[in-house]
Amino acid sequence: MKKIVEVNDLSFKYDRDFILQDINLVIEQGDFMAFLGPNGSGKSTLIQLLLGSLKPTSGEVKVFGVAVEHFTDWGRIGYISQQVKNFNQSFPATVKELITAKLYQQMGFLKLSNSRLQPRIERALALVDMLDYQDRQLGSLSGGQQQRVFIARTMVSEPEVIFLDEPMVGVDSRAQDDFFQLVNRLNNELGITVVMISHDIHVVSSQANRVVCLVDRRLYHHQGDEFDYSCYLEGVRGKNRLVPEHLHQVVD
Amino acid sequence: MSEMLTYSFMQRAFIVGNVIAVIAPLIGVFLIMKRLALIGNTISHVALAGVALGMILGIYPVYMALLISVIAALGIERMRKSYQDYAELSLSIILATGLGMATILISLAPNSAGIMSYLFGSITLVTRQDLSIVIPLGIIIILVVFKYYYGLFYLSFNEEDARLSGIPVRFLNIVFILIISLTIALSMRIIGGLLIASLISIPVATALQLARSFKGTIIYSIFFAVVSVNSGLTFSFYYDLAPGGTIIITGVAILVLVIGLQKLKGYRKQPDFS
Repeated sequence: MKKIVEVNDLSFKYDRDFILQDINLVIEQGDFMAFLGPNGSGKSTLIQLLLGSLKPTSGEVKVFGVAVEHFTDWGRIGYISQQVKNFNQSFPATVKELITAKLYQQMGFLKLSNSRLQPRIERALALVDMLDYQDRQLGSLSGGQQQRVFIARTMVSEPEVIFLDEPMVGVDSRAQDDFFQLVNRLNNELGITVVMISHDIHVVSSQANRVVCLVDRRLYHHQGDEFDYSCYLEGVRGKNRLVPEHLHQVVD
Repeated sequence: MSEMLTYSFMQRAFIVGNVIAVIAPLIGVFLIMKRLALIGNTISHVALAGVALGMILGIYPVYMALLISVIAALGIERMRKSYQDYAELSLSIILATGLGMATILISLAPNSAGIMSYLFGSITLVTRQDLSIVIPLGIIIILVVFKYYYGLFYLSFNEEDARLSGIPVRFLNIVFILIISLTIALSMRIIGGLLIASLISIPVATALQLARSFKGTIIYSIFFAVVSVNSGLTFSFYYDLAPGGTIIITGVAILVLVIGLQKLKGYRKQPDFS
């Protein structure tokens, strides 16, 4: 199986405190991997390291076999973060303009839109059922609609892997359900690799084939079907903790 | 009107004015969306130091302004990195340095009266030499914006998103700040160093009242700048006013008018509950 991401002996610290220490991780094509862990356990930090937005203190991250700091083929990677909605709501851009910009690398000498890109943009918008909104200004849409636009933007470059950092925080449950169904379809039908952080245990339990727990600066790997959800849920409810104690086994 | 255009200095003023009216708001839209409108002010004050230096050294002041503002622009881009969370602070530091240097150099310059035309703009002093530099550089700036249009667009939306879309963020930031400094140095002759930042921002502010897209914002901004410059130059000719100030006040008047009309439109749209 093709390795999408490979992490070797990665450590990262803010100031003096290590957030992650000697991490090893391989994400393979077609995986649906969920990161679980309490707040502050370094889930978002790990994703940012995988995307090269943060530089590791030591160790290396390879994306599609290339060290992330030299990686340039960003169209193969999609990313939706929890900060995605923190944009200037009065930015005067239409949905179509924002999605077109994502195709920068596919544009010709002049970085302008052209008729060749139009079908791709429409396909991406149709995927999230937003085709009728392409000329609307981004700030005039509801939170759920904006979220769908950002998914369309991620999908327009036809990525092979998408990273989702709790993208549905603050969106109503109906929109969340639609979103997770879509992600599931992308993974099952199109074979797109999915890496996500989520506190939604139902999503993790029904969709992820691999679960990675972040505890005490380290990763613990589980296969999706081996992960003890009942123990996890009991812990969440009983002790009011996000990640309860549970057994960890290292899976090759 | 036709009488005004029989004067060759007015022809030159209109040509230079219209080139500036296109490029200043064109880059202004990206600059304001990046929330870095202060860069315009900063570079123009540094460019004044360049003008004064040119006068002392006997070098054509616009060339010196170009050189100094490009150096300042690169300095700003570097400092913006070191003071990421205090972008305004780095700009204020460079603005202060530029203005400090400018006042010292002006006091040393042999013909300090001449500098007035660079502070407030002048229509009678636009030379053939100005034309030969403003037209080609203006065209280059427009072409650069077209070449990197969606890259610059994404950069003003969100730098991190832009990076993750494969946009060469660092390179484009440098290209962008270079075209800002060129635009400012070119505009000093006719608009004046103290006022050019306004021509970068006011037409954009007006456009934002009406536009529903990024492209629309650019088109409206250029339209309002062209109207301001042409009517400003005309008023300035007939009433013997400083061109820079007249252009800017015309721009402000259009802004106020558009805001007023928008408010009226909104007021009319309100449902009648009586």
